[in-house]
Amino acid sequence: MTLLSEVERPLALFTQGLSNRIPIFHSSEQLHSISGSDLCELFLPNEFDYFDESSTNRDAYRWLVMQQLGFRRYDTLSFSIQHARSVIEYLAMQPMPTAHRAPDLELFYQHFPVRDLASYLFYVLEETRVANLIVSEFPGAQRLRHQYQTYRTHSISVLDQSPLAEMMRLEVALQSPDRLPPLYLALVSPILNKRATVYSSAEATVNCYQAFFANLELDVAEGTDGELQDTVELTTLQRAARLEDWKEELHDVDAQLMAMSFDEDLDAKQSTSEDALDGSLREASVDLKQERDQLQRRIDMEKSHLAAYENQHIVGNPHFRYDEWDHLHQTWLKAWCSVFEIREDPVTQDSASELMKSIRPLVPAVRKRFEQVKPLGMRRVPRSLDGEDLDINAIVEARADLHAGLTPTEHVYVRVEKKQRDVAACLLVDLSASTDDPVVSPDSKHMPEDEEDPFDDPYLHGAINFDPDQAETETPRKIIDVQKESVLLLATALENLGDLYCVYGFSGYGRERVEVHVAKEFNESLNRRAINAIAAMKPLRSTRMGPAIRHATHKLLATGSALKVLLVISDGFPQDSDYGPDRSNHEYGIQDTAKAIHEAHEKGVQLFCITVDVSGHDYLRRMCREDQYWVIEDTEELPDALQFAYRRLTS
Amino acid sequence: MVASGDEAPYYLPLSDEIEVFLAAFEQRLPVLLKGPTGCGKTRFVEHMSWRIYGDDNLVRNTVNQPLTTVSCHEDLTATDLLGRYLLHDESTSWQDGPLTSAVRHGGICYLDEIVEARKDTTVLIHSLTDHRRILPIDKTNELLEAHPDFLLVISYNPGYQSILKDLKPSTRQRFVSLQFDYPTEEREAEIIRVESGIDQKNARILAKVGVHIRNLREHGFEEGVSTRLLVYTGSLMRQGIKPRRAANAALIHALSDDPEVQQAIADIVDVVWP
Repeated sequence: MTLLSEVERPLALFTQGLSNRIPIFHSSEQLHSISGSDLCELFLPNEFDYFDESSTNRDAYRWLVMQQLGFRRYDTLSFSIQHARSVIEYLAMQPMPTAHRAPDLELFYQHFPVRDLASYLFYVLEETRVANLIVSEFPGAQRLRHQYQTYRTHSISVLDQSPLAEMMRLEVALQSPDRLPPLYLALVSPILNKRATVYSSAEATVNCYQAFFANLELDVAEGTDGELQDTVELTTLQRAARLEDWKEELHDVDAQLMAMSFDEDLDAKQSTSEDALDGSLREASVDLKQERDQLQRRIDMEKSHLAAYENQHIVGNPHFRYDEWDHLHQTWLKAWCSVFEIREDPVTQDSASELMKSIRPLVPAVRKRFEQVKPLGMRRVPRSLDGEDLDINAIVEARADLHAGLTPTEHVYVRVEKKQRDVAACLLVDLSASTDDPVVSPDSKHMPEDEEDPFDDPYLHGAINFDPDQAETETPRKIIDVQKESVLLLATALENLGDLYCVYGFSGYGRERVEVHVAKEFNESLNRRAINAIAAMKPLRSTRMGPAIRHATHKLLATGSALKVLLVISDGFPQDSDYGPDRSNHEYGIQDTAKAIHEAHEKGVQLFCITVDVSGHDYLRRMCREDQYWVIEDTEELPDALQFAYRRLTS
Repeated sequence: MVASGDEAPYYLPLSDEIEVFLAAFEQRLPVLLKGPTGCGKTRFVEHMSWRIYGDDNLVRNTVNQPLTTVSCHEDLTATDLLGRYLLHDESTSWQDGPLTSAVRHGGICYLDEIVEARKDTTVLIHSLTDHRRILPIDKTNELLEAHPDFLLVISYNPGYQSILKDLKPSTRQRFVSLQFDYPTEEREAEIIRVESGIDQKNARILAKVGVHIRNLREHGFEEGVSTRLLVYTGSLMRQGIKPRRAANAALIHALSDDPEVQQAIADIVDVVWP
């Protein structure tokens, strides 16, 4: 037996090589859990065990990948029912089906008395057309196609007279187009042409349906339900492709709206008359907004059809796969987690200005603290193999050795080097939903219940003494706010120190989507964009810590710095939707994170975890050594804790 | 390294880079070549030096060494380029480095992958790349004026290896810049055919393999496959090695040590080849 998880990574790279798209594999048992995005959605069985050799089973996976890529590449998914009705007479004679928002292929199938028979027939014919094109472009795939066909057709009985058997016989016959029986040849000739399109397959479907099933009684045909499940639903693939098109449209409309609002602002500033905004610009803007709302509604509805999870951000983002440690089975799950690097360029600067304002008074003191660890000047390295100057001492010794009959050293130069810290640091911030909680000071946490002020009831206050302005200005500080301030404060100090550093936020949405939000990369300075991106960090979903640490380790190693430091700032234990047998069980996440921390240590990365979760001791001591973590009770101590940890790790 | 011989080093232009380079040479403007590993930058410089100092003879003086190539590495210092005092039995003597030698006697000095070298080397070339065309050598107390037929050419590969290595704007803005990339599939097939001597059909298939492997550049591994490796594969095939075996030896194992990446590349080669 060959499991998809065993071959997933090479298969993913293979797919990417052929299509230049990042693949996401879904189990074909869950045909409707597809998500629409620019990523390449493919449906593959979880296991394949028809062939004895695992390499042949792997070939079957490869063919399935090529086939599904082919449906995209050779326009199966661009099928338009309007165009089909204009070129195929039979369709034009039928009334147009009225299924609400169904994909065009679904509408096509509904032109026939038995939808499932038409669907299967179309699949067989279209698959043949696409496979012919694949093989003409990739001749080596012919072998894979033949092998897979032996599996597809192994169970066909020649004597069976059911409609399904009729189609399977057609499928077998299509494997040798040169020896097609005359009856079939007349029916399927449109698809054998090199210039055949998806509409040729539609035409052949009509021909075959009329020849095989025109006189079929409906109850016999419907008895085939459930036997036709062996194929990927083309309608599902078409829904995904359609969703993607709409998202692109939405993006364009958004861009136009943004440009318009900019123009409006400009006009308002330039003009003194009040009616400056009247006229065509405003009308166009209203129309566009309506179009946008319509599109958004359509996308939402299609998403619910596909039971998609949110993934609009990950389109085209760099994508990495990491193994995960399954402590229940004591095994590594290969290429289990997908990490997407997301780089956002926030437009608004308001939150950045606020953030800068809040840290400004603290910056000088922090900088001064870090000045102490900054090295100064140049250093001379004597006895070097080469360098700027000759090293007189070394020369004297070399001459003496020569006179004494010894081999003199070649290290007779002095090399001048600039003193520098060779440090790379990654600040990894937890963006889980719980960071949205308000900051609670330790004093208020420990206040005994009987000492609570009976009048300190927000509802009571609200009723008696409500001041809307005050309520608006005094929003409670949240954990994420303190995290952002601490990180920015440390970043300003590191900028001055000259250390390389990056700022990432992370959040988990299940194993297929761990997001790493890049606020600042190693090779960037702390510019306006980076500050905006730090300010724009917001609470997202879960804390899938293992893959985030693995990704940070990977990036740190790529810097080639001598000292590599990873600071993880979090507010709770590792957890995610499929991070363990169930969400309430935290052991799986803790064990995987412990492995990731151990791996980082093995690779020479100094790691330190700081958590604002007071129960942090319970799980952190099981994930890392005692000197590798710190639980702070008062969230407001985070900036100091972070600076202290950094200085200790790097000095 | 010296470009020599009667035949021009083979080079198939991607666009108008030959004309631009010749125009830059006429004005003695330094040239920067940007592009990924193995896309033909070094071959281009060899070709141009052969044309300028040999066939087209665009210079008035005889230049003994038309091309000096320095492959920069992380331990390469300014001293390595300038020269140093050598120690003899009873004395020391000054030995010109490759850059000083080219500045003194003329010819192209080609600093390949300049960002790999230590930072002090980039500062060194600043005075050579503006109107002054001088090279100060403090060890010998010389202010060396560049030979009229001297030209500085540097190359670098943006995004190569480490995200930290980049050319400073103050250096970059001193050069006429030529952007290189891998040739189109058709041109690459032609290059492979000429360089390796295999027939057109196989050359085309190899070029197609190159295109698909390069799709992995961003995510599978840092660098795409170079034209050079495709030529090596073709050369092995010309010697009678079967295509899949030749690809295995010259491409797959050269590109990655990761067994899963190797497997993926082998799978791509497998379906592209008949």
